[in-house]
Amino acid sequence: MLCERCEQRQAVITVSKNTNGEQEVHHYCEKCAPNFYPFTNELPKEPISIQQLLANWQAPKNVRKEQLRCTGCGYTYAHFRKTGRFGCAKCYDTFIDQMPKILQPIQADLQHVGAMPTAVENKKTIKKQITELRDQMQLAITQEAFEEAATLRDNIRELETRLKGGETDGEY
Amino acid sequence: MANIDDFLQQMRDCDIALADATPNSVAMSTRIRLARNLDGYRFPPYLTEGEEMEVENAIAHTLLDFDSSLTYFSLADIPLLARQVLVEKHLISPQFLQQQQGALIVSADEKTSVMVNEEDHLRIQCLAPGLQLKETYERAFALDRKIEQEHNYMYHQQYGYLTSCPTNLGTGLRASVMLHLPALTMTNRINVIIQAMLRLGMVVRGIYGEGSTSLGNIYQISNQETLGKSEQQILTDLQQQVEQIIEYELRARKALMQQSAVLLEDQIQRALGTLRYARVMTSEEAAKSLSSVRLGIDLGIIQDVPIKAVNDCISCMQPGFLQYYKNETLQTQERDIARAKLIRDLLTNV
Ligand SMILES: [Zn+2]
Ligand SMILES: [Zn+2]
Repeated sequence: MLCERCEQRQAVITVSKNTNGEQEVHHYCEKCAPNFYPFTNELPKEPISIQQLLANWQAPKNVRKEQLRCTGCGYTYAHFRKTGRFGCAKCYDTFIDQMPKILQPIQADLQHVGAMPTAVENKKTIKKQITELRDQMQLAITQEAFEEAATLRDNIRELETRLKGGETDGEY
Repeated sequence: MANIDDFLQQMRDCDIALADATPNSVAMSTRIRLARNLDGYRFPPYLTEGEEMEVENAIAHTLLDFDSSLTYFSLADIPLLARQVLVEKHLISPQFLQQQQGALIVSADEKTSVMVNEEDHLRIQCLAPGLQLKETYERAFALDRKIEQEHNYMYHQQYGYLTSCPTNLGTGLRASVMLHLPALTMTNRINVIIQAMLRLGMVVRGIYGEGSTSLGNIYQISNQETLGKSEQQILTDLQQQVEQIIEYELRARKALMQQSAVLLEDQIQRALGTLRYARVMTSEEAAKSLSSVRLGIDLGIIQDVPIKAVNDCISCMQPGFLQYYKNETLQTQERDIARAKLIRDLLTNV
């Protein structure tokens, strides 16, 4: 059974509630369940007010989803449903919970493979180099080749600076 | 500022979209399209006028510097009839035709065209005659890399190149091949093939007709999926499917020739007669007859008509084209008369 709220993940938590003698049963996934009831200790310490709880119960699941609003362009999921178009790059993160449902029927997979901007590619290469150099440095240390280890450490620092520089000023 | 009228005249002189005969006459042309967006802007429909101009100028600047064969046109400077010609040449989309804002950056040989601020900031398109997926992709990729050197694209770790519509996400790559499939259509095998292609993640469309019914037996086959497959994989898969379809078409032609050569020859020669002598011709009849003649040339049944003349007819018989070069709006019957005359001229002055 799928989670009633996100309709994507497997429902693992059953919530039952008595209202005027009638039993209401709901099923949620691990991620959504905390929105409805304090199941996990991740939740804030202060007890959820009964109003809040009721508000959550009563909000039809679709309304919550449709009203999700992108901070980049101001468009809602309802807008996407109507036009089939997103407003900006940030939409893809805002509506990330909905993406599998949108993409699975039309795409081969949910992870991009293939070409990427040179800058992203270069960063990946640098990260890989750093990992390799770290391994070499560890090896040098265990072999007590400290001078070599120091050189390797300097190289790593240099690569790390290049990586950081790229992130802050957009130059790669 | 370049003039679109001069430019279209120039284009007419070097029409490559359906140009000279290629070794494989089933595959008529190859098209590669890359969808890209510039970081820091919303998608085109949501840009302010100022932002639209910023994007246009930035891209135009880079591209015109890079390739001197390219010319820039603001959409606002292209009259409706000329836009219709560009749609018929597949250089702009029908959606773009209706827009107020946007720009087209294009080469006169039609091999390269970039729509700016259509659904995405950039739609890079490269065209080639015949079946040349890899080579054409390389050309589009070179342009893409050039733009990327000067501008930051929207790119997402998981979703790759971001696009306004999630159907173009990831690689942003749509590769298409135009195929002339008269024998598969005549033998009613085309529908089975279209169904099979759909299951393999390909899209098949008729070129002039709506949906899968095709005037002139010309079909476009392209990849549906853009995310989760690499560019190389997309191209290899499409190449394989296209080669397979070509093989089926050639086999169907052979079978037709063996079983009913006289009937086939009769149909082909009648079509040529119609094209050479008719005084009024609908686009439907023209497309059908031209397809038969094209087949006749491929099979060696017609030898005194160069394939170039047939291809010229195919690109000139459409309504926008006819009216544009006659420089007036024509009613349906006037168009049918103009079409008949144009085809007659093209097929007799060879
Ligand atoms: Zn859930
Ligand atoms: Zn947005």
